[in-house]
Amino acid sequence: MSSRLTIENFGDPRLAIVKANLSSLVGIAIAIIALAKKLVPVDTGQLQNTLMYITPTSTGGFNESPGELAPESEQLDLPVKKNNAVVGSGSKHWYPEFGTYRMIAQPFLRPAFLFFAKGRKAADIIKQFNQAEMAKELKGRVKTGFRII
Amino acid sequence: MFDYGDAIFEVLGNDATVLGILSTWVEGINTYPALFERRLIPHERKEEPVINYYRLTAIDGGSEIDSNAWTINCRATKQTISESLAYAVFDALNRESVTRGGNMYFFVTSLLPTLPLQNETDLFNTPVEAIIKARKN
Repeated sequence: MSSRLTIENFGDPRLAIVKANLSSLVGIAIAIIALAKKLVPVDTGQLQNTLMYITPTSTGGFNESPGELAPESEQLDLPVKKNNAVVGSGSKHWYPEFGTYRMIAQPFLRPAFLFFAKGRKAADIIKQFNQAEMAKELKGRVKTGFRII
Repeated sequence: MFDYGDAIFEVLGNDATVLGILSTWVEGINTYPALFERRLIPHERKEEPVINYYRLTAIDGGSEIDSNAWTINCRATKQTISESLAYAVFDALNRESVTRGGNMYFFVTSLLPTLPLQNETDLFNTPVEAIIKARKN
């Protein structure tokens, strides 16, 4: 009589989820900043260039648009907690966001944030990254066979 | 189609505390509260305290229930008046519901800190953000 024992090396799906969540965080932050850069009123382009994101693993958006470069002093430098991201601008010229008594409001940051927070858009990004990471994890599984005699 | 701006006007334009703080403007024989559904206060209006309010989010079609974010800017020359007006707006709208044109609107508000002045001609602005949930009746 013989039987077969198969050991499957599952890897660590928890690690895949952690990786996917980090990628999702960056993905959502980039999506918000990209939309904010489209909505922001552009004169010289400096305000647009100050829009940026910070996540625990990466930073981007600052001085990555055409137009006048923003001074380094306007770069956001904030501590970011685990599983958190910061999107925003360190510019002193943020007034179009709320407008003033005699300047028209041209909100750019809040609409961009709310566009992704509302409905399932952010959830869809997270799902997409999680599916990709889990597919990679499943591909990496190794089957080892033993025959017991 | 939901008319969120109309619903905000309905509540604020009938709230005694808000109207007690807001200025008014006159056209012919009619007097109106200084409440503007615009991103910019009309240049010909010099009255203050004044409110301008506008939509922040996209309107999604094809839904029986929708949710939308609006900003209500409460502006005045004095910070204390701007804040009092914002508190009054916050209280008038928060968890309030109104029916207009066969649609029902429900408000949840947040009060933001007063923004600093941009220049000497600017007014203090204490924004109130309202999430409005709308449903066809």
